[in-house]
Amino acid sequence: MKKNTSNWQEFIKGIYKENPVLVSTLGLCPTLAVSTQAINGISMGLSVIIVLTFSNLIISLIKDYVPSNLRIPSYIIVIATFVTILKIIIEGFFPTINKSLGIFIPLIVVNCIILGRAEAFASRNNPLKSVLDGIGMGIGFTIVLTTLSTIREVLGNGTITLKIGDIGTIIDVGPLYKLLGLVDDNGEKAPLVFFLLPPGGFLVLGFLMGTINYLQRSIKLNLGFIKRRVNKNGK
Amino acid sequence: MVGVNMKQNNYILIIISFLSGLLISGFYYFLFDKIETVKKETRIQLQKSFFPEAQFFEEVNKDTIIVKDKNNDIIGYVVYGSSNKGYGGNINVIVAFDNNGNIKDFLMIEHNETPGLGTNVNKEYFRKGFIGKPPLKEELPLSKDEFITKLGIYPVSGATYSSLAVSYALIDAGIKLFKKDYGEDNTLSEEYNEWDDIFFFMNN
Repeated sequence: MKKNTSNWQEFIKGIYKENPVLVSTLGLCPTLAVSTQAINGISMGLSVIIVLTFSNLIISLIKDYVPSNLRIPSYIIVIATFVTILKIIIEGFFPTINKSLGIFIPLIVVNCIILGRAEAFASRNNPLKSVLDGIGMGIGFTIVLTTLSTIREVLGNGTITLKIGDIGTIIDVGPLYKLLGLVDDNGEKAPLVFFLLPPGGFLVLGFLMGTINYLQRSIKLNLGFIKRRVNKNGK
Repeated sequence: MVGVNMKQNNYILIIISFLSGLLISGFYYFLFDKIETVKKETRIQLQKSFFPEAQFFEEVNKDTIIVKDKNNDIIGYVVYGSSNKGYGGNINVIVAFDNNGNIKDFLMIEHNETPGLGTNVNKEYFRKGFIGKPPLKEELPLSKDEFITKLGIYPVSGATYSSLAVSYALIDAGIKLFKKDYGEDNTLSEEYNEWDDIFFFMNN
């Protein structure tokens, strides 16, 4: 593991440089499953941030006491504990979120982002860095999930749902469809349900991955170019 | 190296499991009442939303509720129906029936359907197709094509399974409704043949 990285770097890497979904391709299963409505992306992302932060903290604290052959079962128990507690809290205080996310909350247990970060980071770093890593990775996951689900919902249903229960609103992007001429015979907006189905999810995710790869590569190239330039002038 | 560790630290897993169990049961213990109240409140709210003029909800059993107005007259029934034909397994619906046993409205409440697709069965354009229909297998769609012939609507696009599951759950609710004896002033249970429907569900 790299040493001497600053706390800020540990936090920010999950959002861009080592984004769990777009760069490390972790946690694709919940990503594709819940990203059909904007609000689902946001609430799933927040749940993952909470679980990831706490499990990273605890795993980093107990790492010295857990023998290497028992680490996976131990980590899974820690993660499952936090997910179960989260599920109980959501059931008690946010019944509407519980209704819309249903099965996906318990499935956070087997979300490979959380086990992946426990294994690759929290079990080798101190608690502070592990917490920062957890928050950063969680935010990165949330951003991707929200972007993906917003794109899919706009293309597939013509709306942006930002509503839980009676709170919030549903934005209708029908006027945008009409502006672009994407209407059916009755003059109503005609969204492509394809984008709400799994193939559409893969397609949008692929485009997002391509975009971030292109960005990262072109930035790297430009940086190298500038560096060489500076070196040349220096000589 | 691993062997040494195994002998020394195996008890750690037991400790972690024990602490985990303690923590979860603690949380559950303190929030149990809250969760139950929330569940009950949502049920009552739903029932009220179907019958705004209702005064009394008489529970016949845990799935069937008689709705009465302030003069103690029966104005309808609320029945919980279920089906295992959903895309993600079981779905539960709450169904409001009017006085004659026709569907007044329904809502899918517990399910594992895809958010944004299967959950669209709760949208008004889909629910409208069922309103006013009797909850009988002769009247409700049992396959994809029967939606248009029997109800005049299309199944929710991208969610044929969920749409069909709703139809089956409504029939299930209908069976629960007609099976009960509601007293003298009610003729609902007369037209119902129980064995017929049991065979129907076994064969499907």
